[in-house]
Amino acid sequence: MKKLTTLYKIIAILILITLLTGCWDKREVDTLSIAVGFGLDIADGDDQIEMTAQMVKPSNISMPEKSSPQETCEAFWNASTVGEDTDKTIRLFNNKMSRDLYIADSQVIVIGQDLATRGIYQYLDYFLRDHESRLDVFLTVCEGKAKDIMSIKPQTESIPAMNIYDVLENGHLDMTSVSTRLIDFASALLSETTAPALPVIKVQSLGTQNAVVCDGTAVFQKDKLIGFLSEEDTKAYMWIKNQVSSGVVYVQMPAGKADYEIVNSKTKVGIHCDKSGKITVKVNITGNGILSSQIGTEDFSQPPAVIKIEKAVNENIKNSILESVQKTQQMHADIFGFGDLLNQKFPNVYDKLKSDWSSAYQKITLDISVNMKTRGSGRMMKPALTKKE
Amino acid sequence: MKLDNETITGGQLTFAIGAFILGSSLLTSFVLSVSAQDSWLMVLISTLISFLIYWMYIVLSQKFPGKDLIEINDEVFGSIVGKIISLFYLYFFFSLAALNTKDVGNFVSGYVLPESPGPVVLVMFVFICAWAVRKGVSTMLRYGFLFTIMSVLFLGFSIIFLIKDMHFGNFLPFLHLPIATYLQSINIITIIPFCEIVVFFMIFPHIDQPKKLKKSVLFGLLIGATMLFLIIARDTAVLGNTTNILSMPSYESVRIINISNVITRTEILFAIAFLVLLFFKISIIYYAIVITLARIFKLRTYRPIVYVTGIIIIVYALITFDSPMENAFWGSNVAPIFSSLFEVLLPLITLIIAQIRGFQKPKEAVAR
Repeated sequence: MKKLTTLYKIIAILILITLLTGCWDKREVDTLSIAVGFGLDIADGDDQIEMTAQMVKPSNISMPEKSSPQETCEAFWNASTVGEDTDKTIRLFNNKMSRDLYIADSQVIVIGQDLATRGIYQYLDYFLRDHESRLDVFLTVCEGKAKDIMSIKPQTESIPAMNIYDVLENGHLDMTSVSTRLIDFASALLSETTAPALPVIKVQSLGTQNAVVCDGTAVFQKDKLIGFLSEEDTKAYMWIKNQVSSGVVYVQMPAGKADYEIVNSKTKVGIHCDKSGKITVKVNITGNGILSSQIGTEDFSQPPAVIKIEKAVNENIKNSILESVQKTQQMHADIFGFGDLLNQKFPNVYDKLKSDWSSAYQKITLDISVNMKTRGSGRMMKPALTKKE
Repeated sequence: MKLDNETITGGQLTFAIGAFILGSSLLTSFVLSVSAQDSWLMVLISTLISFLIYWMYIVLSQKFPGKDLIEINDEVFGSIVGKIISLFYLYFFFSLAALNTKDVGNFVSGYVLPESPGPVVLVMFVFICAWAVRKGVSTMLRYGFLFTIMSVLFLGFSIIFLIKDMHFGNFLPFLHLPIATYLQSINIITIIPFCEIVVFFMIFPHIDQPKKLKKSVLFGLLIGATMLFLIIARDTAVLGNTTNILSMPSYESVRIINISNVITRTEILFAIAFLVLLFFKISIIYYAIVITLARIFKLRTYRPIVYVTGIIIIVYALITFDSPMENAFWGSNVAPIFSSLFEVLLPLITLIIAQIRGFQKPKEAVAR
């Protein structure tokens, strides 16, 4: 009997040894090529895309460029392939490189402007389906070719894709860039009325160096790019979407100008539909801000002056929202998701209007109320430069 | 005649039922793809309906204290018809085990280990279940508490981490789908996670105080239903309209967790939790199959047939569906009807016939 148990134990150990050591899905870090970003461009061929994958060279990340100037030791390299669709193109990388492409760590997908005009869903489907890719990767449209913008070497970061990610995130904090994850884009596509909006990046010369900066918003109809919105309109989008957490509003005062820094804000959007079928969107913004700088000599330390500046800020925000909504109404693109809001609150009205939403969207009126409260005026009560009497 | 002398407490049964129901938490897409943003309400309604069905199970079980489903069938229908009905149940239990094992396979090969061959994953998984079944029912159920607490913690953390991604507008429009979809959805939730509890008929006789049965079973349903409700509400709030197109919403929503790039990519922990819960669920179904077999063939102990049964489960799981899509279609459209035959209709008939033939709750059990 005792012999038998020993035999069982030996068999069990043998089975475990054979089953637990080998693993089909083992992927060692040194056999992977970690992609941090993808660029999608239109290729010269008729229906083909050019995909740029940006991969890190881990050994070079912490190494400063101390060696001779000829020797490049960038922490990344870009590879491009041309193919019919994303899946085929991504497989081409695996065919041609010594390491497998690992896409779970990708931070951004940059889409070239030309490709965006042609429609991008078919190229993003792979990223939505693949088990490795993540739904929270950032999407952005770039001026010109994605391939080019991804090879602009940033000054402070070592990897362009990470830099783009940081630029987008910083821009989001500064109200200059919307932030659209892959899942947000898919969600907008699934909606019958909402038009997706992606941030735009471009190359701009900052002094001596070229750098990537954000530049407004790209507006889509379904998955096709139809137009751009300026930075000012991006702010309006963020106000309505309740995404503003900080940023600056510039106001024109009777005497001089003032910069009003938003500390926090909250937007509530409601929708109203009266019997005649007129749809009114109610936007209610509340928040706090600081007087961060001023041009001119006006004294804002007195309560009436503070009320005056708050009023000016409120008007400014209100007008910029109104203007931007009008612009999107002309573009027939409901980027704010008012259609979904109508569906949520008045599903019966929505059912009647959804087939011709773009004309219904144009008739929407807005009722905006902004109420910012000043929390302080920085370290100064009054400007140092006093008014000359 | 008892196959083993193990006893379980009412509390263990409660948590076992809770964890058993949670074993289906990966499969919320069956419901979410049908009733979308109103699914949370359907969970509540289904819970009420399940209360009635559970009540029926309890009444039936208490009429025959210390007897499991197969013995009840023998008594109510006579040994020949009873055996035939027991064979139906046996088939049903096998299909339950195979479907759930298939879900493990789909999940692991779809999300965690895409290149590993399916059979290897299933063999290892069912082997562990077999090991649990051989340890006996009380050992198995003791872990119900641990697993329930584990899932409460995981769910709690995931909800806290996801609060910033939740949009409560996603629950609207409220009740704006055709009535038929709601009926289908209620049917799915009642039959798939809740009333699969019919396998516990093989465990009820082990309870140490039969009087506590009602309380512990219904309380178990309450735990399971509350958690399922929270999971579905979380997924709807986080994923919005994309819940309808994702194949595993509850996994996708935890993948979104990102607290300023520090707490992020935690989904593999949740994957382990899902697998642990499925392990618990399959073990219990497995145990029910083995006991059913032992009863039908009048064995003195069930242990020798554990591994054989496991092999049958693996093979059955491997051949059931050609693709996960077929599996999802079955889950949303066929299973709710098919399973209700065994989970609702057969127990109801048994109960009615038992009533007609005059089986009463034994007096001594009432007095005790």
